[in-house]
Amino acid sequence: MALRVLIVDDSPVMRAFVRRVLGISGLDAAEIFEACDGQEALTLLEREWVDVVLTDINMPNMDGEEFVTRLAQKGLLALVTVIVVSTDATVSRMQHLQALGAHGYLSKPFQPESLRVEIERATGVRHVA
Amino acid sequence: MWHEQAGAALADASREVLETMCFVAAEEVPSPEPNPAVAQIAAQVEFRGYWTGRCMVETPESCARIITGNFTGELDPDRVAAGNMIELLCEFANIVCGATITRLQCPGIVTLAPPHLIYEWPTAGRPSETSAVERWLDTGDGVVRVGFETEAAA
Repeated sequence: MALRVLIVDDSPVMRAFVRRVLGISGLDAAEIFEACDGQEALTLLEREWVDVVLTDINMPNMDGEEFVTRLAQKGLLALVTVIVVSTDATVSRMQHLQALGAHGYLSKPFQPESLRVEIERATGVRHVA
Repeated sequence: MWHEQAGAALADASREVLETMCFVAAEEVPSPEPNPAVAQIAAQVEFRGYWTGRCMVETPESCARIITGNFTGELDPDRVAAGNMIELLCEFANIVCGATITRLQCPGIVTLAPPHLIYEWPTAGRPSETSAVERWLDTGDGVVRVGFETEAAA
């Protein structure tokens, strides 16, 4: 199954990195979208279907926590797999994000293989290209 | 005790970021002699919450260009945009900071502020209770200097 992936990060180089890693990881990504914060991501999700959202936490305008909260309020967490990709890997932060409804958590730095494994674990499907 | 743990955490985190995300092998080296002829760029990220402090990264511009190319997939360093190089250094500081805090097993939530460029490595004006460590990593294309400070950690 080819995935439609949305990368949400305020850093253009981080978005470029995640896009690159998705290619290296062997995941079958049919289409990759990008948004620079939670607000832009919500707007994009009103017009595009995606299977997986990879979101940062610390972003201007709407951060990752508020973004996940809004997705939960809209009932989208039952339809879209959300994985938080963050520098903060403390247990308290991960538990908080999972309590909000995030399906997975990947801490930076990470290897391409780790991204593929976390997406497969969170979606419950193998996605080899 | 704190200095050994924090120094090891900082060096390990920096090496891991360079190797896994920038695809660059790096080896810890002693503090090199300063060379004013080599242009350096530096970035810093502050954090607060359970712990308060900052993390800094400094590298020769030529090294930053190569690392940025590896990170983004632009393998011709001459085609790396200056803006992307700055973004990369800020992101590098951000990730190293988070990874160092994680390695030090911070028991509470810490929030990182947006990283930013700095024009001089901070050496003055530290609060009296601040603990600071620095490490240097040789990538083969230049030495990356990293620093980590937190108040009242010792």
